Amino acid sequence: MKVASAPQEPSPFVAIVEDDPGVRDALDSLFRSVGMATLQFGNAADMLQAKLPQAPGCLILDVRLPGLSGLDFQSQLAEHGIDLPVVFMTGHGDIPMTVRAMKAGAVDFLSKPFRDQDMLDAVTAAIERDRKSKAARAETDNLRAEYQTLTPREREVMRHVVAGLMNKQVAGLIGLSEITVKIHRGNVMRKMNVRTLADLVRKAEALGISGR
Amino acid sequence: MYRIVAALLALGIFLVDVLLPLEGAVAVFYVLVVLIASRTSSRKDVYVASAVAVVLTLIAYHLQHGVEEWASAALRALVSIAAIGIATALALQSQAATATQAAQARLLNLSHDMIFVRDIGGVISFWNDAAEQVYGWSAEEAIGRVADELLRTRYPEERAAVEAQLLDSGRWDGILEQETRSGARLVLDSRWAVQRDRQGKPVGVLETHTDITGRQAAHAALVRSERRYRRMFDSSRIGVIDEDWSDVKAELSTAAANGIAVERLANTPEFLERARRLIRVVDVNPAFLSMVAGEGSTQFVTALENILSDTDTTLPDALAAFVRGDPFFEGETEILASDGRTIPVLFAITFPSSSDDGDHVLVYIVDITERRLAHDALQQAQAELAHATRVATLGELTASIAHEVSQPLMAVVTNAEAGMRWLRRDPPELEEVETALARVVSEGRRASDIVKRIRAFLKKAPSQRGELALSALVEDAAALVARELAKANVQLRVDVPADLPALQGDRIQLQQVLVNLMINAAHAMAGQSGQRLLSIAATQTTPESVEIAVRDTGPGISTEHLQRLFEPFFSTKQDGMGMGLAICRTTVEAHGGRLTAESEVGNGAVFRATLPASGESAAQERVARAQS
Repeated sequence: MKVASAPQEPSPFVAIVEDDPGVRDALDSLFRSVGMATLQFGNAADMLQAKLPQAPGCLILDVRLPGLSGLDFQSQLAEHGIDLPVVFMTGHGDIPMTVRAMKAGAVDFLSKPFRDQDMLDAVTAAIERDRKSKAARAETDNLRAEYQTLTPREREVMRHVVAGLMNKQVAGLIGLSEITVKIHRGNVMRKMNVRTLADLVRKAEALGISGR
Repeated sequence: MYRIVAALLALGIFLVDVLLPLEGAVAVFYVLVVLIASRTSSRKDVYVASAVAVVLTLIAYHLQHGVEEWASAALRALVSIAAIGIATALALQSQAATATQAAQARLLNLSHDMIFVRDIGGVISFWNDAAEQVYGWSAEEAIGRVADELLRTRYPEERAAVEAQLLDSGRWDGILEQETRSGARLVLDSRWAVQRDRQGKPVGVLETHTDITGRQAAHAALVRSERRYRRMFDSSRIGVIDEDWSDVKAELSTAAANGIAVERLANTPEFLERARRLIRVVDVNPAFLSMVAGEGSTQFVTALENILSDTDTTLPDALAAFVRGDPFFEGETEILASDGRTIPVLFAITFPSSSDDGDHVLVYIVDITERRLAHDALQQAQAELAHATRVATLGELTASIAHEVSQPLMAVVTNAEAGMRWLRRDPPELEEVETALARVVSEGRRASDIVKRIRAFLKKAPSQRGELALSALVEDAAALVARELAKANVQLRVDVPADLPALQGDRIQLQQVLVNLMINAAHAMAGQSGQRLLSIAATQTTPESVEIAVRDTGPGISTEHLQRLFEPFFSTKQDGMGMGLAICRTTVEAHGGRLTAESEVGNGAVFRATLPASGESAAQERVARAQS
């Protein structure tokens, strides 16, 4: 984590979804003692309705949370536009539940009772993962915005260029002069904020643009 | 008849005397006339005959001799008249003797007893009317026959011995049997007396017989009856005590005469203490003795206090029943054995129905030790089964319970770890540390409470009755299943007003009933998409009873299942044992209550446990109601 990036990023949070107030309070205290912000929810429904911060974070959830099945929960998260890594706490003998939770996309499992360091590590890892996925998402969003500025002709030229065609070939293919293709290509390079063809190809890949 | 004969004879003699010139005392033959006349047994006839004879003699003399001729003829006439006089006197005497005899015979005939006279050889010489009637032979037929042959007499001992005793003492009496003409055998009370002549030689025997056939039969029946009742008393397996309540009756009457309410008196400890001594034991039967294993009759039992255990509570009611004049009282109590043990018994008292019985009271007693033991064993078995079901019930809840126990433990550990982290911070956040430590304590307590609750529920203890607060009972049961309900997404609503009277019962058992009903309700609602609401409501239905209703919003129970719901081994669950509700009902009924189920398919089900309110509280309730 770069020190410089700290002021820019909001501080990470942990959303605790636990119906047992004793356990909830204990976890809250633990996370706060290492400087993490916490959000407490008594049940899944409350959490789904809540407006969660944009900061990187994770969900802590008991697999035996009343009225909740892992798969349902996963689809409910998607419905509510929540994309947070989930750390499940499991009790003894909860193997079927654990399996279901894993299938539902949990990032980690902690068997109760767990060591505090394990919990903190799991949460830190989850938050890091969220941070990365949020960063990646931010990069993709940026790329998409750049791509949006291209004219249809420029996008056509770009598709052929990243496919590895020479300017002359592109010109021949779409019926333009080589000069015009060169200008379009220059605009693409500028608008996509790249200096080399290799960079452009990488961005095109990130955007899922395949050649031809 | 005799008169005509006498008259004709007199006439004949007269004619012979007058007409035939016979020298001699023809008139002497008038004696015959008098004798014949005497046969009529009338004194008048004798006098008349005598007078006629004298008159005729004088007339005849006058006709034959006139007045002038005296001498021998007159002498003969005088002799004749003297003879007639003598004959008359003799006839009168004899007639008087005969009349006395006849009167005596008539007296004998008046007797209801059969009387006959026989000579030493047994030949009958007299036979009275009663003998004619009873034996069936007339006097003519009987006289001259041998009595023993005629009557086929059967003696209780040797005939010779009877005769010997008779001749020795002059009398004999005893019971013998004789046969009538029609062949019926009679049982007779017989008395014999010997008649002797002047020399003391026995000449006849007067036998008097009283028919006691009927009396004998009645007596025999009485004896048999007495023997039968004695046998019942002696050989019955039911203990019987014959008690004399006259003293206690006297005390009660005195009290009543002094205006003391007898029924109240019968309830005072002092009087009960007295009554135990006043009620005397007259007799006890062998069955009772073997019951208390005492030696010899009435050696140690002289009064009720020797029999009745101090634990008895029935005496006041028995006294009250006695005072009311009830014919009967029964109950269950404990009696004392000779070794000091107490024996549980069932008893029935029959009070005297008429004054003939005096104040003797019969108490019938049955030892119910074995029944009690069987009952205890049954209860034991029920307790075991209930325990097994509790274990099974908790078995179903294992996952929930594991979770429930691990939650506070985890909270303890996590709070402690968090506390250390707060402590290690620079500067340490002591307030947070304190909060964390406080939570460690409270969560630790919570864990131990849960364990205690589960252990209590699983405890295999004999039934212990105590006063139970309804709210605590419901709360404890709800706590045991809270997790299970939450898991099934069932909402629990508890409505137990605080002012309800307490219950009298076994906490664990009643808790088990509620736990079972709640789990059943939760399972019933588990599969449905609609509302899952479980409500427990307690209400006071009558001053003496409280109802706990466990209601769910499940699919309901079909009529067919509803009928069999409480049968053992009836289950609608795949892996159900089918004992839960059966045990619930047994438990509630053992508490003197009822457990019923109502349901309408599609509209949920209600289980109602009606339990008697604890005596004291119910009493307070009544008092409060009366005051308001």
